[in-house]
Amino acid sequence: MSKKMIVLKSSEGVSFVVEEAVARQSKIISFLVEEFPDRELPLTNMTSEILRKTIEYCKKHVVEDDGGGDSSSSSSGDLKEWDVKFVAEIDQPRLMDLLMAANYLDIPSLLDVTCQKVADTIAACNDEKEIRATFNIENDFTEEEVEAIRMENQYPI
Amino acid sequence: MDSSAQPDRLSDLPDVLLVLIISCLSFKQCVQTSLLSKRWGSLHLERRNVSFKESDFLSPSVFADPIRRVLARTAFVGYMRQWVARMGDQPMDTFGISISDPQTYLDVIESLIAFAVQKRVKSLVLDFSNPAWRTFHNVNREELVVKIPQSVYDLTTLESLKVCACDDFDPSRLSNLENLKSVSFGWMELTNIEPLLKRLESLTLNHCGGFDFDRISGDMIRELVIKDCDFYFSCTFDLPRVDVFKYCGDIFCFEFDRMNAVISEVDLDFQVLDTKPDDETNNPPEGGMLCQFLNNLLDNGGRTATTLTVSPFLLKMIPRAEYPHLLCRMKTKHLVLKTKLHPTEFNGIRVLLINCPKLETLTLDLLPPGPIATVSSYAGIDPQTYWMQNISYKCLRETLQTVVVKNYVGGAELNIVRYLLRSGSERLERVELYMPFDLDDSRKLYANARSEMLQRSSEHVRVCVHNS
Repeated sequence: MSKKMIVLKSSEGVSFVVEEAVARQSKIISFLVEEFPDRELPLTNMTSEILRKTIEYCKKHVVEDDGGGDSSSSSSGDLKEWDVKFVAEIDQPRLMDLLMAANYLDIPSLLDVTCQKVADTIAACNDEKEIRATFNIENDFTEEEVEAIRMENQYPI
Repeated sequence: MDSSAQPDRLSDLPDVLLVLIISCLSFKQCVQTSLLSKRWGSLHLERRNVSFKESDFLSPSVFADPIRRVLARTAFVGYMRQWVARMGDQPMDTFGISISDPQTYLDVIESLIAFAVQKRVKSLVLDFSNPAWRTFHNVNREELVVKIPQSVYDLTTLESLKVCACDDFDPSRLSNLENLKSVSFGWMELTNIEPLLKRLESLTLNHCGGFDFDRISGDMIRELVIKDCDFYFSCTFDLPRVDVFKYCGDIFCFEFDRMNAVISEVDLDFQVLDTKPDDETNNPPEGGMLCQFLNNLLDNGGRTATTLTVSPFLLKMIPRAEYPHLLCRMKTKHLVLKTKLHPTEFNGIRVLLINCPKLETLTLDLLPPGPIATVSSYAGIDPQTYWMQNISYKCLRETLQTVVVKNYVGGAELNIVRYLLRSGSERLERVELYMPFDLDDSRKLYANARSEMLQRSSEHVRVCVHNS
């Protein structure tokens, strides 16, 4: 029995043919497939590069249902390791794109791993200055305001 | 000022996503983000999971100094009070308090618990243990003063609950909470647990004792974690769906009734027994006991532990059992050896390689103290030459695909990696080396150079170094 395929189109107009089970990990696509079967789905705010990455993730995480119940293709431990590698290889701007894509397409597990990766990057910084430098965050506080926040938070050391 | 062209993509994310991100941070780091810029100012108040940990606020040195400790604790409690007062109507999923010596602050703790109950949280942590406690026997009953109020036993939204060092705690009263799937109990006597187990998916027992049960039975339990508990001689496990089984502690007489035929993860740590100096001659009883433990757990080879993690003590003791050959063959695919790479552990590594003929991945997780190249020989085992012997095993010839080294520094661990490469077949395709994150630059350079040498000497294998 051949698997049902659907077509996703990126902002550049590139078409990606994906197994339905893979794409259905996105709650939005799942909804669209039911509402508009057999239609090409335009994802106008996703670049081909990000869409390709997202599909790569979904392919790895698809739970294969070949009559044998919930037999995922990989064990949960392996999958976790794969996730870590997957986000480790992505540079910061693309990570943000992927995070936005996970949010837009409503793929909870991908949103979790991308948020965790950003959080880990923040956590690896020693102080707020280092966080600002890492993410190019502009400090729009005056010295006095920073002091006021420190006081307000009563930061016990 | 920094005028780089790179835009600040992070701050451009919508609030909901930023809140998700900072919710992954520790509470302390989360509060720190309020100093970043105006955009980040009060975001941290929106997070849906809040956990107040005394250990986040009091460094060990402050904790050890009585006066500074009192001052810091007062500030910590004031901080919690103020924070809760600033909380608006937003929903909250997770709430936690971890504070030692709760006696002084019972009223605050009571009001914080009431706050969590009013928020109808899904996950609740109430931990009043003391970091100075080492074993269950250090716990003085008089120090356990916090009583779990009825409102928590009635909190139907609860999915996950952790209770440590509370007085008069009765787990059976939680058995009506339909959503409660995951519990963790620590640092107290535990009785009346059976009625609760029926519905649970995850159970953690950490430094508990005084059990009135000798059977842990749960049809739904997928994860069981036991750490340094004081069993009354024996215990029978009846966990037909268990997927993760982690045991850390002393050797007791454990029997296994109905168990999942394939357990994804088994982690055994008997390091607590590793106290006596090495006695080279005897067959210590622990060796035989550990073999029997493994045989029982794996039903003499009828049951599978897909990933098996073991500690140095087990590696040391198993080969010294009176009858090490009675250890059953295992169907394990991934073996994780937590090892100090001391020569006393080498024979144990061999015994496990012999007994895992289907091994696909071997992980060496190096523990401190790091492998010292000049460890003297032990009972005829010379660390310099031991891994040069050409003895191969079924798993090396037929199934092993990946070798992983955690905390790789390019030292003596390479002896065993080279041995595996020499004895492995063409199926062995990858060596993954993970350096510890705190390695300084010169040692990193050294470790990298050694890995390149390894790569040059073994062409069919891909050697990857990871900077973790």
